[in-house]
Formats: sequence, structure tokens, C-alpha cells
Amino acid sequence: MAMTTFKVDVTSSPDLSTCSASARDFKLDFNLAQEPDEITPNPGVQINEGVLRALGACETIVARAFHNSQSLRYQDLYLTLDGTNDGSFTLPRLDEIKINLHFKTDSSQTDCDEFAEFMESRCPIYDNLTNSVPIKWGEVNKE
Amino acid sequence: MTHYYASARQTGKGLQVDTHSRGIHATFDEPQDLGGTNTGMNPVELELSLIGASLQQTANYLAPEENFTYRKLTVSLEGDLDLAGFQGDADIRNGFQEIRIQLTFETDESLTKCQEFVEIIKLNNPLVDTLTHGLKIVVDNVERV
Repeated sequence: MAMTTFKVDVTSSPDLSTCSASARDFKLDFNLAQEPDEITPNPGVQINEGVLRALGACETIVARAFHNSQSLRYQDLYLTLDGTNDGSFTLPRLDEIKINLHFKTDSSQTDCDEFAEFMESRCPIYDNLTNSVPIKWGEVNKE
Repeated sequence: MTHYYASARQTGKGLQVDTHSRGIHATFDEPQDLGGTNTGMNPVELELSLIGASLQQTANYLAPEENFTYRKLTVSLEGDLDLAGFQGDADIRNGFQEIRIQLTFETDESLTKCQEFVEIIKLNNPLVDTLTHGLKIVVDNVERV
């Protein structure tokens, strides 16, 4: 299967306190607050909460895309994610993420446990957060 | 120790997912050619967006102590994903195989000072550090309701 390249631009606001990401036809605003309780008055997505959202959304999409082939029937799936920062880095960095999965299903607990393992094994965000990703830095530009 | 919380729930509309933190919702989806209904960014586009936002946060935080002033910063990101990994090819990783990042400042500082500032940002950016060294993810509980 061919490689797909995804592209995003993230631009600062005029006062540099927020930024906006654009990908294809979609925009998403981010709050640059380091801690959730600092978020006023600009709502936006706080970055560490955003990492949890990305992981939760990705695992949910994996579940939705593959539950038929894995023979797990469920009516609803709800994930809660808890990320912690131990304060050892310059800026708040997530050190551990705990995930709770809630299936509305008639399937067995064993089937749900096995499907949760399958979700992790296929999730692109899980892979990128737990294994090193090569990052190439382009030339710095000024205008 | 600081805690951050989020939740994700399928909406029942194709692959669409509603995510939530502190009352703020955001919807993610896949484009139609990847099986979705194209109602929002997909998670890997969100991942790139988060890296860009995190670099913006680090620049904004470190600029005063580095005596660096700028009016605007644009972070351009690209990520290569081979969907065969996601589809189950064990020889291909599921996530991005490579991420490319370019920073453009609107500033009166010299290009050399911009380059030096970017080196400091790279060393102090939490998400770049996570993507370089990884973090621990554990499934705490799988519940049937």
C-alpha cells in the first residue's frame, strides 16, 4: 500500500498566546496554557489533553474499523484517559497515560480484554507515543 | 504531580469520534477515502497539530528568557503513514514512519539567532521528547456495561 503524507500548518495568534492548526478543510484552536486550570479565557484544546484526545480518538476508530473482523459485537464504546506529569521536564510532559475502556456489549470479559489488546496493537497514535519516531527538521526561515 | 483528563466516544456516525475535556468537545473523523464521513481532522492530523502547538508553546515560553522577539510563528508539518501497518502488515509500523517539521518566524531577529532559538526549542519541547523517547501507556481497566 502506498505511503500517505498528511500535512498540517500551525500558526500563532497575533498576541502569541494561542495558535490554530489547519489540515485540509479543518481548523482546530489550541490553548498554550501549561496546566488545565490556567485555561482562561481562551478555551481551545490544551496540549496534553489533546494528546489524550488523539490517543482516545485513534483507539476508538480502530475499534470501529475492526470490530467486525475481530468478532466483537458492541453497542457503544467509551474511553476515559488519565495522563500524569511528574514535573521533571522544562514544560509539562506526559509521563504515563492510563486508559479505561467501557464497552456496552453482550460479549465476554475475555473477548473484551483481547479486543482491547488488539486496539493497542493497531493504533497509530499508540505506536508513535510509545516508540521513537524519526523527526527531520527543515531549514529555519524568517520573513 | 499534575493530572490531565480526556474522554473519547464513538458517535454512531461512521468512524466519527467525540472527544471531551473540561466541557470542551472536539470531533474527529477520517476522510471518505479512508472509510470515514470527513467531519473533522483525523487522529494523525491531530498528532501533527499537537506537535506544532507544542512547539508554539515552547517558543512562547522561552522567548523572554532568550531575549528573542517575534510577531508570528508558523510551524509546517508533514507525516508519512503507510496504511498497510494499520491494516495488519506486521513488517510495517502503525504510526508515522517519519515526521518533517519546518519553522518560519516573522521577526526582526537575524536568521542566525532564529536558528539558535530553534535549537533551544527542540531541546526543551516536551512532545518532541516524548516522540523521541516514548512514554508508558497502560490499560487500567476494561469494563463491560
